[in-house]
Amino acid sequence: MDSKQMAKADFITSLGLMAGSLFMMLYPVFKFPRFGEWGGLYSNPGFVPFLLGLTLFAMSLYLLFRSLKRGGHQIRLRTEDLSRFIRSPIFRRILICFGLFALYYQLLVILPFTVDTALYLFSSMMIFGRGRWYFSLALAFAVSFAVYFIFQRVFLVPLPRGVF
Amino acid sequence: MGPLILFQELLKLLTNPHTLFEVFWATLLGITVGMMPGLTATMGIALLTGLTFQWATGDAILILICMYVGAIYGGSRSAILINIPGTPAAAATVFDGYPLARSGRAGEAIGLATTASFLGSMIGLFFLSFFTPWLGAIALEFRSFEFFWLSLFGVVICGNLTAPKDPIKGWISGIVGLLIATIGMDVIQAYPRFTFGSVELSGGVSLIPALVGLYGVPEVLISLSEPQAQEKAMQIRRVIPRFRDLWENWKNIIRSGLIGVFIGAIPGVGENIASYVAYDFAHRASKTPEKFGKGAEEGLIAAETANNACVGGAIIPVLALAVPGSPPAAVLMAAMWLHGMRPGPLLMIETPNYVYEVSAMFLLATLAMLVLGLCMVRTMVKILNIKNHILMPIVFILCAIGSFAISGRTFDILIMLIFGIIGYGVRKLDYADAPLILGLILGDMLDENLRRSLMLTTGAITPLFTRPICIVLVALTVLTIVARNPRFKGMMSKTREAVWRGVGGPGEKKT
Repeated sequence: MDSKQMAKADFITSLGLMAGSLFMMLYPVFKFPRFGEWGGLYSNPGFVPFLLGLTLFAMSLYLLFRSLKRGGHQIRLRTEDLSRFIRSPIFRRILICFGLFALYYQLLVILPFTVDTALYLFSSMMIFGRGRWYFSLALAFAVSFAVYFIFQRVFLVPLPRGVF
Repeated sequence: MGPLILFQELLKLLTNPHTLFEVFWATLLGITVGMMPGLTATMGIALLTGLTFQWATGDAILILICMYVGAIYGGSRSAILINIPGTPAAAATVFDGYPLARSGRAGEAIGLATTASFLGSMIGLFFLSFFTPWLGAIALEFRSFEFFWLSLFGVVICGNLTAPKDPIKGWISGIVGLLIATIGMDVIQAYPRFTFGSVELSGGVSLIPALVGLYGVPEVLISLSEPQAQEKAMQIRRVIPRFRDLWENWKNIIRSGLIGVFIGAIPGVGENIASYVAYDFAHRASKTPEKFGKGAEEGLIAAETANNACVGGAIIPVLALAVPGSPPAAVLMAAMWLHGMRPGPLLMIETPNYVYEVSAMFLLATLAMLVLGLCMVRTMVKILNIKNHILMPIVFILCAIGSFAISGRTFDILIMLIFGIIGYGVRKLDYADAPLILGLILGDMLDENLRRSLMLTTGAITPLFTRPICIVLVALTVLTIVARNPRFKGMMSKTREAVWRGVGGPGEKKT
C-alpha cells in the first residue's frame, strides 16, 4: 500500500476502532453490575475495559486526525474502481480462500473428518494449482488419511466427528 | 549449586532413549517448519501445543522447546538458499546468506549459520540458567502494583519496537489485545464480560486457537492469494565451517549473543528485532563494512547468533515474571499454563529446579540442532521444492486440528478463523501482531492486578506511583512513549549538544 492508500485505510480503520472502543467503554457502564460491596468503581468488572476503551478511543482519534491531515478522507467510491477491485485476481483468490475455509468449517460437523479434509484439499489444490485432477485427488485422500492416522491413532488427538 | 543441578537434569534426560528420540524428531520438525517460508516458530509451537496437549507435561514442554530452537534456526536455510527468510527471525540472514550462496558457498553459509546459531543458543542458555533465578528473586518483591505496571510496560515497549515506523499502530494493536483478553469471566468476581450469553465465550477467548489463527491463517491466505514464483534451492557442497572463520569472529559472536539475550528479555519483542540490531552493530564494528550485503560472513554470523541467543533470553522473563519475551515464548507460556505449570515468581519457590530442567531441555535441543543442522542438509533442502498450493492447504488443516484438539470444540476452529481474518487485516494495515498477542496474554494480569491493588488501597492511586519498583517501571513506560515523540527527540539532541559544549566535546566544533 502506498502512503495515500494507507491514509485512506487509516481513516476507515480509525472510525471502526473508535466505534469499537466506544462500545467497550459504554457497554460496561450500562450493562455491568456495580458490586458496591467490593469497593468503589475500581472493583467493577467493567473498570479495566472502560479504561482500555478510553485509551483506544484517544489513540484512534489521533489516527483519525493524522489520516485527515494526509487526505485520508478523500475517498471517492466510483463504480469502475469498485468493479476493478472486485474483479482483481487477489480479491477473488481471497474470497475463494475464505469460502473454502467457511465450507470446511461448516462441513466438519456433518461429514467424517477424512472426507471433509480430502474435499477441502482437493478443491484448494485444483483451484490454486495447475495439477492434474486425479493426482490432486489421490494426494488429497492420501494426506487426509495420513493426518487422521498420525493424529487420531499415534498422537491420540481427538479429531472432529461429523454426523455421518 | 546451579551448574550441578543443570548437569543432573541433563543426565536425567540423556539417559532416557525415549526422550532423546523426542528431542531429535521435534528439533527436526522445528527445522523443517522454520525452513518453510510462511511457517513460523510461533505457529509451529502453537500447532504442537494443541497436538501434544494430552502428553505428559515434561514431554510436551521438551518438544515445544525443541520446536522453538529448531524453527528459529531453520529459518536460515531458506534465507540462504532461496533468498526468502523461513521465519521473520531470519530476515537479516538473507542480506549476507544469499549472496554467499550465490557465490557458490551455500554449504559453507549453512555451516556458519548452524555454528553461529549453536553458539548463540549457548550464550542464551548461560543466561537462562544463571540469570533466571536471580531475576526470580527480584520478582518475589513484585506485588499487584508492580505486576500491573509490568504488563503495561510490556505492551507499550513491544508496540514501540515491533512497529518502529508507526508506534501508535503497535500500541493500538496491544490495547486491542488487552481488550480482547477481557472477554469471558473476570478473575475477581467471576462476572461474564462481553459474552452475550455464549457459554463457549465464558472461559474467555481460547489462547491457542487465537494464536494459531493470528499466525497460521494469514500465511495461508497470503500464500494462496498472492502467489509468487518459488525459487529452486541451490546445490550444497561443504557444510562444516572452518575454525578460522569462527575464531576471527569471536567478538562479533559474543556481542551478538549478548544483544540477542538482552532483546529477548524485553517483553514481546523477539528474534527478528534481535537479529536486525545485532546485524547493525556488526556492520558498524566491522573493519570491512563495504562487504556487508555482498556476502559478509560477519553479517551472517551476527544475525544467526543473535536470533538463537534471543530464544534463551525470551524464556527468562517467562519463567521469572510470567511475561513472554517474544511471540513464540508467549505460546510456550500459554502451553505451560495449559499443562498446569505456573511460571512466574512463585515458580522459584514451588519448583526451584524447574529453571534447570528447562535449561537442560534447551541444551539438548541446541545440541540436536547442531547435529541435525550439519547433517542431512542435502536431503532436507528438498522440502523447499514443495509447491505452495499443496503445502498451504495442508497447513490450514493442521491449524484446524491444533485449534480443535485442546478442548474438542469446533467453536475453537471458528475462533481461529476469526483471528485469522484479524491477523490478515493487521498485516495488511501495518499493525504489528506481536503486541496483540502480548496483550492477549497479559490482559488478565493487567486487569486483575490493577483492580486488586486499588481494592487493597481502597481506591488510592499513590502506591501505584511511589513504590520503588513501580517508579522504575512508570519511568520506563513514560520514556518508551515519549522517546518516539519528535519534539522530545529534538529536545534530547539539543541537551546532548549543550552538554558536549559544556565539556568541550564535538558539540563545540559544530558551532
